[in-house]
Amino acid sequence: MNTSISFNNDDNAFEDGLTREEILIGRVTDGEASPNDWAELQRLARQDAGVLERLAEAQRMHAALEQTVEDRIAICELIEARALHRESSGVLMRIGTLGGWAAAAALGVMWWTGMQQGPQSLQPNGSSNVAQHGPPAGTVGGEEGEAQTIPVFDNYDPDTVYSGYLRSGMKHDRVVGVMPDKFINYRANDDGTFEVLIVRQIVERRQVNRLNQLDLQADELGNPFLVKEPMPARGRRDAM
Amino acid sequence: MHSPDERRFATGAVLGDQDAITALWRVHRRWIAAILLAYKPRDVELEDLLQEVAVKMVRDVHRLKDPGALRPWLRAVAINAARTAGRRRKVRSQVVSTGDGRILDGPDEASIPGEGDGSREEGRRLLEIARALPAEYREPLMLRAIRGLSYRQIADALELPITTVETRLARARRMVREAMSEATTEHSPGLAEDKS
Repeated sequence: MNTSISFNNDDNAFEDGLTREEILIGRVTDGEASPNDWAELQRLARQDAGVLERLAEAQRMHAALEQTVEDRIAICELIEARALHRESSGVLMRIGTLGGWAAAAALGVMWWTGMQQGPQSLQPNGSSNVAQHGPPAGTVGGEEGEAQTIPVFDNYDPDTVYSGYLRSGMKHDRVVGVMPDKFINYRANDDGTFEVLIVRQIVERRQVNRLNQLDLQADELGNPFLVKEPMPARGRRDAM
Repeated sequence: MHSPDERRFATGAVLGDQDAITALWRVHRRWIAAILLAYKPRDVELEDLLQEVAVKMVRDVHRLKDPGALRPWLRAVAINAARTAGRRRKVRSQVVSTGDGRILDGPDEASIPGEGDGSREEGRRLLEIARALPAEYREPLMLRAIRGLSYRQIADALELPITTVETRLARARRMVREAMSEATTEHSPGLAEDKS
């Protein structure tokens, strides 16, 4: 049976009924036991066979918790500080504070905004742009005489177009950087491969007069969120 | 106290050496992740918080006057990030509240059924219990669940004497053990009746 013990000065932080057995089992489980600790635990075990059972139980529970925590934190191996150096101020900091969903939403808005703004926003220019290689132009939508000419990217693979977008965005001081892809879901294919859904995250710099101008109404999961607007300089009562 | 490498990286980072900052992050990111796991709201992604802490470290580490204070500073940054995320989540959750004052909590990644065996299930339950412990017990237990983190390193991060870390670990494990035992009894009413 466990018995509370008095602790020497080294152990004077011990409190409320912890037993020497619990401390020793903890040290053994954590690989912190000295030869003296082992000897003491063996003496206790000779008096009470349950000690070894409790030791085994403690080790088993620790191993299960350790495995679970290690699994959970494995993602940290993908987070590198190096990639953040160049962007460690300004927009990225704010994006970082807001979370990855903001960047993902920003990408969506960027694309949408580009479509709304018409040919200029999508018109590639400069040597770094994918269109330098000459994507054919096409005509879209609108009534006769209002048709807009925009580049057609059908003949290029998405990665090429994506890279071109990043290069052009950086050149025009619009794209700040890229954050790690976010995993959404996966499913197994019949051939043993996997289909994985991810969100690509582009950090972009925008200049707006009002925060709600961006019209970011939902995160990548579709959850609504609030965009804080400065309150008018009136009393709460007036505002109501 | 700290390894020579860690001291060198910390000093270099404080002086603005980018390579040192990169190396320093790699040294510390695992236990930082454990701190975040201990404090983060259930439905906030660990990855987002890690990125936030990394950005903060890159941006502000040069402001540290004493490289030896790095661990406590990083711990404070991590806890602050997790708590801020909690407050932010609350504001966002109000938008999807049920209207009767309840807030719809997001799914907890730890509660998502897995394909694992009984050991994984036990690990999941242990983690849930550990995360529900009072902070002074939760933190050392989560840090100790990181492979290779010694009592000394935990004590450094928490700014506590080693003996205190040790006793808090023992207390934490007792609480977890009792909670697991209670949970087992609750899930085995027949067994409880037999005993009575």
